[in-house]
Amino acid sequence: MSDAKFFAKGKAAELRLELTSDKKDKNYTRRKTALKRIVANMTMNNNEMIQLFPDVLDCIKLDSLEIKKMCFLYLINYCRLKPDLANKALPVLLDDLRDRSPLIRALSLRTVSCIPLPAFNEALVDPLSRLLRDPDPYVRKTAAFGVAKLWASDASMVEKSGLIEGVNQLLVDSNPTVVSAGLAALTDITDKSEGMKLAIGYQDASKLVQILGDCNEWSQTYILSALMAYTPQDPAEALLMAERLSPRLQHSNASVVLGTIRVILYLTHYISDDSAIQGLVKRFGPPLVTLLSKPHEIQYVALRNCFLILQQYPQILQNDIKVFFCKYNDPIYIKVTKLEIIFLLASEDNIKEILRELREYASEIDVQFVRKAVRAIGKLAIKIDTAARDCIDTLLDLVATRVSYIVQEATVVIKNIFRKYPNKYESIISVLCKNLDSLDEPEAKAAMVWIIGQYADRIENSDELLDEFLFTFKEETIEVQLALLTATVKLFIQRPAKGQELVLQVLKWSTEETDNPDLRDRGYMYWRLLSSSSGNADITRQVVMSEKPAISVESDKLDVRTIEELSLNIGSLSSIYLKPVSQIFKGTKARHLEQSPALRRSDSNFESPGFYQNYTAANYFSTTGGDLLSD
Amino acid sequence: MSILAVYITDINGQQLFEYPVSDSPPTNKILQVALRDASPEDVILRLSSDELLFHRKQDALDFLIPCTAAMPALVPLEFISHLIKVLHDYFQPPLSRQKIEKNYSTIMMLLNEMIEDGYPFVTEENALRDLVPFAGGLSKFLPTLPKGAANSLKSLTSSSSSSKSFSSDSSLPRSNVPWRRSNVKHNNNELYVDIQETLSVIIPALSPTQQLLNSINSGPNPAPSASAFYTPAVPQVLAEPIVAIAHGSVLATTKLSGVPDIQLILSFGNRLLEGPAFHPCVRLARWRERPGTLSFIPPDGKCCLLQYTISGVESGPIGGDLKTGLGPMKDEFEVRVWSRVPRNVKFVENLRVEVVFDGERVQNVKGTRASSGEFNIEKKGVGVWRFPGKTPMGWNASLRGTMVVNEDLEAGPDGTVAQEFPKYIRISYDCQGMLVSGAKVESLRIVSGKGLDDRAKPYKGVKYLTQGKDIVIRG
Repeated sequence: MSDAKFFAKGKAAELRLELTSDKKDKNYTRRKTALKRIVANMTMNNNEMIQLFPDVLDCIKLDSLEIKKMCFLYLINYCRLKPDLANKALPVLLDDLRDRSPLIRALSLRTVSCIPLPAFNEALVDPLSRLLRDPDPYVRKTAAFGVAKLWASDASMVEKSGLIEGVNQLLVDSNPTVVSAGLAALTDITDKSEGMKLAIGYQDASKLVQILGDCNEWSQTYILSALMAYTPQDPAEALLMAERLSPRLQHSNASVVLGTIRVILYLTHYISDDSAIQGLVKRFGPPLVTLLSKPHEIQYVALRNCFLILQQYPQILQNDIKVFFCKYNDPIYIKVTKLEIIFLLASEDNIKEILRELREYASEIDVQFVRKAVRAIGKLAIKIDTAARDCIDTLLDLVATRVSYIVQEATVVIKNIFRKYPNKYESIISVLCKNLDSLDEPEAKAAMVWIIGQYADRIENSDELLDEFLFTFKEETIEVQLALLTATVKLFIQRPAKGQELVLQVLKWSTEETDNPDLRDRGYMYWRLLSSSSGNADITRQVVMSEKPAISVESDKLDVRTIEELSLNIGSLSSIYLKPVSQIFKGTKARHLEQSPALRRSDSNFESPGFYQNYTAANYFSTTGGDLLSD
Repeated sequence: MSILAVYITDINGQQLFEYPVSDSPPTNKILQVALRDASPEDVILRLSSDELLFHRKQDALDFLIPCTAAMPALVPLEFISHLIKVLHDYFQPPLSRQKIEKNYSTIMMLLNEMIEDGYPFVTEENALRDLVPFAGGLSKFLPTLPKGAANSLKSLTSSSSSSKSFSSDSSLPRSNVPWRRSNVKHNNNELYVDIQETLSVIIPALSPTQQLLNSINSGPNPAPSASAFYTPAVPQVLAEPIVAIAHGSVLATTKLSGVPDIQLILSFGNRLLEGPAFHPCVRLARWRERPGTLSFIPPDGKCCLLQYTISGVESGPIGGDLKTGLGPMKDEFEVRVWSRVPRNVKFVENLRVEVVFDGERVQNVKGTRASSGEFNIEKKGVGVWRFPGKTPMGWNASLRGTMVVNEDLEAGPDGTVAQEFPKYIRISYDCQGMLVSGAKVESLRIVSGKGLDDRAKPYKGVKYLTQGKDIVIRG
C-alpha cells in the first residue's frame, strides 16, 4: 500500500465519492484508503482537502479505530484553519468523550484539547474535570496534559475552573505515569505563569523518587525536572535524596543521565558533608564517559556539560583525561570542546602526556584546530609554572616548522609567556626574530612588536627590527599602530641614542597624520610625558616600563556564582554556551537556590573574583585594551 | 518547554514530511535559512530569542525539530534517536525518501502517540506497535471495533473496569510491563544474544628510536625499487596505543510467548565496566548484588539491555603502521597492515584502511604499489585501501606511494615546497566470533515463562562481534 500515488491534485471530488459511496465496503477498506490519501495530501499542505470536512466528519462515527484516528488527525489540522467548520465537529467529539472505550475517550480528549478555539475551550472545562478522575489511567494522563494545553490558550478560565486542583490530585495517583503526567502539566503551567510556582515537599519528593524506576524514560525526565522544585530543609534529607537518585545515572537515555546529574548537583548545595558530596559527584564520571559513544550531537552536549561540571569538580575525571583525546575525524565542535577540557584537567602530573598530544594536534590538517592547539600550549605555560620550559620547547619545535599560521599563533602566546615570566626565557627571542617575515596577521605582528619594545635593550638590532615594521606603519591596523608607538617609545627610553630618530618620526605620524583618535591621544600623551619629564628620565621609565599586572589563566574560569547558576541548568542551552539563561533568552525564568536552613553559603567557600578577574579576562587574548601606558 | 514541530527533509533540505505540534511552528523554509547560515560549530541553532533548532542527519534524511528555548538539549536529541529507531523498526533501515512518502499516515499516527503536549511521551517500539498498526499489515493489530473491541482495548488500556489493575505495581496503563507488548504469541520461540564491541584506538607515531630499531630489525634498507609484491615483515617495535576503548552493547532478540523472565550472566574477566547504562527492563538491584547479572523481562523483539565502556583494552586483531620519508628521494610513504595470530577467529571482514592527507596541499598520489587490495582516492584528502570479503589471520599487506604536492603552493622560506605525507591512517573492519575485551556469556536461564511451553529450548546462543571502527594511527 503506497501513499506516494495519492498525490495527484484535484482529487477532492473523487475522494468524496470514495467516502460517501453506498457500495459495499468490507471492513471499511475503501474508506480507510481514501482517508489515508486525504491525510497524505494534508501533510503536503494540499488545502483542497478542506472541502471534504463534512464527509470526514461523517466517518468519525464508523466503528474503526484506525478511521477515527485519521479523522482526528484531519480535525486537528483543519479546525484551526476553519473555525466555522470546526464548530460542527464539536458535538461529535464531545460525544466521544463519553465513549465506553477509554482509548476513544482519550483520543477525542487529546483532539479537542489540541484545537485552541474559544468554543472548544469552553466546552472542554466540564468534561475535563470529570476525565481527570476517569477510572482509566490512560485517560487521566491525557486529561492532565489537556489541562496544560487549555491553560495555554485560556489561563484565567482554567484558573477559575478548579482544574488545576484536579491536576494536583493526580500527584497522589496510584499510577506512576499519571503522576508524572500531572507533574509535567503543572511544571508546564508554572514555568509560563507569572503568579504560580511549583513547590514540592520532602514527602512528595520522596514518593516521586520512589516511582521513578516504574516510569518510562520521558516520564523520568519530567520528574527529574520537577524535583528541582523541592527545597531540602535538612542536609541529611538532601543527601538521602541524592543517594536514592544516583542509580538513574545508569540509564541508557542520555537526557535521564544529565537530568539526574542536574538534580544531584542541585542537592549538593543543601548537603553539609563535603566527603559525601565528593562521593556523589565521583559517580558522574563513568556515565559521562559512556555518553561519548553516542551520536556526535549528544556527545557535544555531554562534553559541554562535562566542561561545566569539571570547572567545579575537576577531580571526577582527572585520571580519565585520555578519553578526551581527539581523533582527527571528530567534528570540529567536538575537538574544540575536548581541547578545552584537556586544558582544564591539565596538571603537573599529566602535563608531559598532554603536551605530546597537543603537539600532535598542532600538525593536523584543520587550520582552525591547529591554531587552538598552539594557543592551548601557550596557555599551559602560564597555567602550570613548572611546565613552562616544556611548553616553550614545544612551541619552539612548532616555530621550526615555519608554517606561517603556526608561527603567528606561537608568537602571540609567547608574548603572554613573557608577561607571565618577565626576564626568564629571553633566549628564545632570537628564534622569533628569525621568523619575522612570516608575520602578516595584526595580532601576531602586535605581539612581536611588543616583545621587541619590551626587550629593546637586549635585542642587539631592536632598532633595525622596529624600523622594518615602521616602514608600513600607515598601512597597519590600529592594533599594530598602537603597539608600534608604544614599542618605539620603549626603545627610546632604553636606548635613547638608537631610538631618538624613530620616536620622533612615530610621534609625528601618530599626532599629525592619523585620523584615529585613540592613536592620536596616545601619541600626544607620550609626547607630553617625554617632553615634560625630560629632566627626569627615571619617572618616564617608571611610567612606560612599569610592572605589568600578572597574567593568569584563572580568568578563563567562570566565577562561582555563574557556575552555580549554570549548574542548575545542566543540559540546557545555557550550560552549553556557559552563559546565564537571562543572557541567552529574554523572559526565561532564571533558576536560583531557594533559601532553607540547609542551604550552604557558597560565598564564604570561595574568594570573590572581583575586579581583577575582569581585568585579566579582557586583556588575555588582546594586545589592545586597558593597560595603556605600560603596554 | 516544548517541541514545536517535526520535519523530515532530504539532504538538500527539501521537505518530505511535516508534523506541526504547536499552532504556528517555524516553517521548514525558515529552518533551511538558519541551517544555511550556520557555522559547522553550531550543533544547536538559535532561531529566535525563544526558539531553538535541533537536527541530525541519518540515512540520507535530515530530521529537524524546532523547540522552545527552555528545552533541555538532550531531550530532542534523544528523541530524534528514538524516532529513527522506531522508523527503522516499522520500515526497515535504511530510511529513504520513498519510504517516508509511502507511509505518511503511519508516521503521523506514530508521532501523534510519541509526542504529548509538545514533549516526548511513548517511544518504546513495543508500546507503539500496540497503538499504531504496522505499515504492512494494516488491520492486523486493529480489528474493527464492535467485534474485537473488547480485546484490542484491553490490551491498549489494561482492564479499565477493575480498579485493581492500576493500583498494582504496573507502571504504564497499557500493559503490566511497560516495555512489553501484552499477549505476545510466537509459534517458534527463539532467543538470541548479540554482544558487540566497537573499538576505538589511537596509536601515536613511532618515536625516532623506535623507528631506528625497526629499520635495524628489518635489515639494511629495504630495496628502494621494491616490487609491488614484496611482503614486508611485521615490525618488532610497535608504539603503545594512547587510547584503546571498547564501547560494548549487549543486545537481546526475543521472540517468546507470554511474559518470560530471564537471567543472563556475563563475565568481563577482571575488567572494570565504566558507566554501564541499562535498558529499563533490567533489574538494577540484581546487578548491584552481583555485577554481571542481567535479570529482566525483555521487550518483544530486539532491545539493547546494556551499554558499557571498557578502556585499556588490547588494540584488536588488526595492526598497522605508517612510515614516511622512504625511498631514494625520501619522498615515499609506506602503510602496512597485518592481522595478528588467530584467537578463535579465522578471518576479519570488510577490512578498510583510510589514508588521510592534507587535501589542500596534495594533488594526487603517484606510483602506488599495493601488495594486495585496491587503493583509490575517494575524496579530497582521503585515499581508501580496501580488502573486500574476508581477510585471513596471520596475514599482512603493504602499500607504497608518493604524494604529489600541489604546484600552486608557495615555496617555504628555503625556496622549496615541503614534501607531503599521509597524516593518519584509519583502519576499520568487522570481526565475528570474538570480543576485544574478552567479555562473554557465562549462562542464560529462563527463570519463569508464563505462557511459554516448558519443553521449549528457545536460547539459540550468542554471537560476538568486534567492530574496529576508529583505529587511528598517527604518522
